[in-house]
Amino acid sequence: MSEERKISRRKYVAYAGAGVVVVAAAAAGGYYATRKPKVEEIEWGIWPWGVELVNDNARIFNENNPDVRIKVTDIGGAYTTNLYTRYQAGNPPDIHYSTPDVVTFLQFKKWIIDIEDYAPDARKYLNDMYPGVRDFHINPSTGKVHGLCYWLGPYCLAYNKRHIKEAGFDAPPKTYDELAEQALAIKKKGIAEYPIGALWSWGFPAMWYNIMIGNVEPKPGVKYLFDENLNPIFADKGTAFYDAVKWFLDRVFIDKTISPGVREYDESGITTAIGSGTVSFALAFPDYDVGAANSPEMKETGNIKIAMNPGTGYAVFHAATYNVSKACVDRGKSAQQAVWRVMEYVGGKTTNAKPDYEHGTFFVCKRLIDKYGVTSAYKVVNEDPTSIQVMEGMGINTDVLLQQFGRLSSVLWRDPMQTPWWGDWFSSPSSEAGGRVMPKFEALLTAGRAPSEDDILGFLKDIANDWMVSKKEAGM
Amino acid sequence: MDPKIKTLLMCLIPALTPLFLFGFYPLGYAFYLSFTFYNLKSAIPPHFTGLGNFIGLISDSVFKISVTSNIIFALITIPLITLVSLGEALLLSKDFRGVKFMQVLALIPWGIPLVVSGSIYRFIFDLNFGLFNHIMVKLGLIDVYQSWLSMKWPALLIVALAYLWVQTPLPTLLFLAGIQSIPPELYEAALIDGAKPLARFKIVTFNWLKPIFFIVLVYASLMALWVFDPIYVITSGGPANFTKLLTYYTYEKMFYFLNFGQAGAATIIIFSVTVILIYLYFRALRLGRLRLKV
Repeated sequence: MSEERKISRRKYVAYAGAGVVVVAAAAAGGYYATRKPKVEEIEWGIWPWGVELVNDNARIFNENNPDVRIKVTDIGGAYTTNLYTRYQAGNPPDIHYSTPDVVTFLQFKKWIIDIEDYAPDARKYLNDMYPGVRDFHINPSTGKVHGLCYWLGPYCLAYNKRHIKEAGFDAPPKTYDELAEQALAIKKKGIAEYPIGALWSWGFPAMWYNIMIGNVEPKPGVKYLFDENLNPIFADKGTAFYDAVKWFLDRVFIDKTISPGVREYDESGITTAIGSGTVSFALAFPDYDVGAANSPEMKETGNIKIAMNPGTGYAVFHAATYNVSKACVDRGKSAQQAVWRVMEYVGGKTTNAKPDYEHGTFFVCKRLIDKYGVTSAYKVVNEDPTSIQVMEGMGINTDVLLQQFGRLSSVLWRDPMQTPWWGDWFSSPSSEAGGRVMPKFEALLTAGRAPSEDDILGFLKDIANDWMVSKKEAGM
Repeated sequence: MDPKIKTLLMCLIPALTPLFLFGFYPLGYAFYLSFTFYNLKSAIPPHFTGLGNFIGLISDSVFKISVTSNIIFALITIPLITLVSLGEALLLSKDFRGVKFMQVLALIPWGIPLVVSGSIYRFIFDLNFGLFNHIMVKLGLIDVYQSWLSMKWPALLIVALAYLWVQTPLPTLLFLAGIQSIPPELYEAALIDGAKPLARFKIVTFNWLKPIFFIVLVYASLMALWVFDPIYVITSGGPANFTKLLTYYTYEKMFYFLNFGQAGAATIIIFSVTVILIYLYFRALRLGRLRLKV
């Protein structure tokens, strides 16, 4: 009896074991059969502008790409600070907007990668860009494409067509001397007290470069502020910067066509000033703000136009790119492929939100221009008939704008080779903070008396010294 | 450990935890940073630098302007806050029709954030559309609109105005409480002795309010040292760094220049002055308590 029981127990255990194996195998099979494919999540860091459109773009991508999911994160108004904090904390977004100074800093810290290293196709997009903006998308240290275009447009000379006509001129100024002449005539006729304004805050460096390259054509080998070893070359009489500073201060103190209060103009301030007819010209004016200056509630609606940058006609540009964090590509092949797909969607060509360089369209870039009149580095986007129609509807004279696109120079971002301290020195294009140069120039501007040549030289030598101190502090 | 102390410490944990996390730890870290070369925009890695950051600050021309401007700002605002709030309190302590309404009115600016106050003042003194320019032109005092915020002294005064508007109500309240606590017998005795109004103010009111004066002075000094919002909103430290007071300077060093070491050193300097002022504040409070015992 006990023998039988013994055998029976062994058999029982064997049967039970086999049962468990069968059930486990069935469960595993079922699990693998019904398991969803792995979804790669890509965090897209944005600043708080056009958020609704961004979310809609992300939605369209997510609907068409089940294996990749875009998660949009608003980095906030203090974008640069918040972004750097996330990088420093080791938790950066995967892909994000970058202004040129941000790119330089992140490249310096090796926190972002050159997208060309992971997606050789990125280089093809250079062919779609205006010639003057191509090298801006290339990392000057590695020679590789670092990211694709989010937006790009010239810092223009905007002018009031009615004002110059009433002052007896048929066309906008062709040189900076003509600009001074027209402004003086406008002042004398009592049309505007201080006819020349400028985007100060983040347009400050661009304004100087536009004056400099208007007077001295940007050609290979021409340097404006620094030599190849990053040493200042401007602190002398007769340099392009000296002449630009002198031209500006003469308008403030001799002609009195520029108010010392020009330093108070931020982007909305100068847009309102030219739109209301308080100023007749706006230096370093972002192209897309011409639409806002012509909006129906403005007094001068329809009168604000873009002129080619006086002199050589070359102008510098404002820009933002999409860049990818190193932390993202370090996650592996799947993340690298996913983030390139996202970048190609937001800054490249796709069909149904899927990569298609040959036959696709710049879907997201086109939506930006169609909704906000925000221009792009890509020729085909700006010159599309519907884009032109949209911009014309905003009061932008696209014939001159597109001509200006053909004469863009990346010298603003490449003459100083964009060191990490460049923005701190000259003022940052992504911040309202003034850097070192701006307050020192303001000391001349608000001194209440015309500065002598020695004062100007003293200012230039002082800021050259600041540059050298920053260079030393940066260990370069 | 004594069970009583143990219980006491246990009870204090909820209060002390945030204090350590958000108060002492950042302060300790700032102290550490102040002796460290830590510049995020530099290829040189962080390292101990001794007094290097403090020396760097002292040799920075902008820091010198910042300290000078802060002293000027304090010299303007401390007497103004004290005198204006005392005047307001004296007025509001009188018994007349509508005094209750005026008391409420005087306290309203206290509820206005400095950022809002700053925005209002920025608009009032706008270069092209400011109300102040409009009034001045209408009155024939100026021919054309002036850029007040681009002139050093007017810019500093405008920041001071925006700041005063919000900072005056609390001292007013303190003075008002002090005045209302003065025993009427003291005034009666002074009257019997033939004291005239000015003498009564000097002998009774001023003497009674002395500790409150001291508190208000220390409070106004602290606020003048810590002022940030109106500068951020109205001038961003300009023109030519003239309104770049110490906290704004530190903010720029930290979040704009990313020079954590020098920002830490500037923080320690502000902290040291704050400690001295707080010590004086507690002494003033002690004086006040002694006065009440009298």
